[in-house]
Amino acid sequence: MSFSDADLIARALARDDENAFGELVRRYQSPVRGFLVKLTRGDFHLADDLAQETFLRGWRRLSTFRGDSRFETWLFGIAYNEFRMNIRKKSEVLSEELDETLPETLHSAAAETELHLDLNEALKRVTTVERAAIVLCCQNGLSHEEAARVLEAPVGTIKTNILRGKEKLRRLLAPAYTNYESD
Amino acid sequence: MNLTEPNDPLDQLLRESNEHIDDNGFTARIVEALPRRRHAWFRPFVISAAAFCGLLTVSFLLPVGELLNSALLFFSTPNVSSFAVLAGGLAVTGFFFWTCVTAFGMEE
Repeated sequence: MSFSDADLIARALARDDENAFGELVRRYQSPVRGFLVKLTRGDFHLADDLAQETFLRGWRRLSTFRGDSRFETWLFGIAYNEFRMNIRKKSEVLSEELDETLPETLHSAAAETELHLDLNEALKRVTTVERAAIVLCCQNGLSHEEAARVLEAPVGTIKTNILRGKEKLRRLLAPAYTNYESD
Repeated sequence: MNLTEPNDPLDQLLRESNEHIDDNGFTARIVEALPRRRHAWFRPFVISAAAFCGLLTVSFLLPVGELLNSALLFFSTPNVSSFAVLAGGLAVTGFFFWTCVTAFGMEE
């Protein structure tokens, strides 16, 4: 018998049922960890640490989940905040600034050397906000409104980030992308 | 509505590349690390109790009788010193209530 998210949350809250929460973790560990792996540019170790913090915070704050969004969306929001706090701790503002210039540099380098980038490599080269919006909407199927809630940004900004990010991906993937299109 | 297009090769590539990550003991580690959840009333109770203790201490240190006299005096013959004492008393009381309201309104 399969319980709905709402049932599991209710059980976890009413009886402090760790197994019910464990089932929620089992359901959403893959999307949450995948999201964090992409945000951290493939750092699986850091992503797992952040995912662990995400679920522990989710457990502590479970009573604040009001059900006005999907549980998965709520978890993505916590995960994104964990990621941002981690960046703040490490004072990586500088690397965020570098992010903005990196794609153009790489694009010209790719054009010159006909460097082949796979999608995961290309995703590492768009900015964090673009990457987050693309991963949430294009890979995890969130609506723009849900992504806006997760990333705490206006819907228009999310749309712009997706369009801009996808445009960069197309340019970075240009050689492989052409082959993929012709398949 | 999303800007993903069903026939866009990039969207297709993005969807297909979203691989499932195997659990590999992740869930078990989380469940093991779950802290005992404190009841929802715990934190507001502690903060309110601390604020109340603070209020008691302040009322013990401050001349409460004088404060009340000043309040009465202020309403009969307003002057600066009685107003200052009255304002201080009101500020302390206000702080206590504000702390309680904030504590009960806190989410975590």
